[in-house]
Amino acid sequence: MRVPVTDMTPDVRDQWLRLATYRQRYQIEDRLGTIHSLEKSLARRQSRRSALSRRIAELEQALDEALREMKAVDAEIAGGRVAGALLIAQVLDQVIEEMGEAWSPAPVRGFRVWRIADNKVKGNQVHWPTRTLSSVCLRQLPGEDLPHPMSRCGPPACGIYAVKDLDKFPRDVGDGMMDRSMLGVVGLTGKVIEHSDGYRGQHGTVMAMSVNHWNRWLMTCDARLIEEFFNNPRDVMFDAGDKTKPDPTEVRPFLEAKRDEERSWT
Amino acid sequence: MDIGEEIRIIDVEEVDVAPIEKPIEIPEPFPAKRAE
Repeated sequence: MRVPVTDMTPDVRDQWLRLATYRQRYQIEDRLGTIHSLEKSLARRQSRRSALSRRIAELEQALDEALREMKAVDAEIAGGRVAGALLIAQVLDQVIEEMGEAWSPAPVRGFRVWRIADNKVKGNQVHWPTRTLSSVCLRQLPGEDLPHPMSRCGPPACGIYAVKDLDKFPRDVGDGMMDRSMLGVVGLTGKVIEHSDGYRGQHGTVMAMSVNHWNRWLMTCDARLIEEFFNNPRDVMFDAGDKTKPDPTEVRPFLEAKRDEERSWT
Repeated sequence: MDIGEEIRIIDVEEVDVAPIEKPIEIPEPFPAKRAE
């Protein structure tokens, strides 16, 4: 920082130079009473200014030292964070291994049942407005990931549910023969908790479905058609549904084949 | 729905399931006006 200099205009400086000249030339001190007082006042201020200037220099030096120290501390913090990240990775890798947590690039697939009511697709708890639904929990705290462990919010614990095998359902449901219902394959993504007989997922997307309603039957894995169905089940059933009842042995192999796609990862 | 005991957590890549756009409907050619 540069200390500002109190400068005089040329006219002002000329007058002070003239005073010095005339002091040498004549004995005029007795006529300079007011100017003497002014000179003393200016000298005090000049002295004060010098003190301030020295203080500014000291502060500048202290500031430079503080900045240098801060730079060094910043470097230590950055290094500490990098080292911390490596330690975190090591600890979490160990935790993941000990807890048996798995990773999959492909959705985990299982079976679900929905009912059709009021021209809407309804799950056990909520309406599915689209073929993809994310889980919510009334007991979720900020920063928590879903679904919760069973001990945290159950029973029933939160999450998009799916079962591993169709045999988990009653026979007529597992064969896709139940009226006003939909049996489907759902792909779970995000955090998925595996149970002995099924899964609870963070997000679920319907990959394939078999529907029985309005005396029509529809079995499809066409994503566009499934999306349209969730938007308006009745219209899709009347447009694309089949009036002929399928053989009960057709539905199960179709859905099981869809479940097994990309299954090698899990 | 009883799905049994918890076994493990699977961390699954979140695939972006974009909403499927409805096909664009191309209107039929405007019918020619019949001669009076």
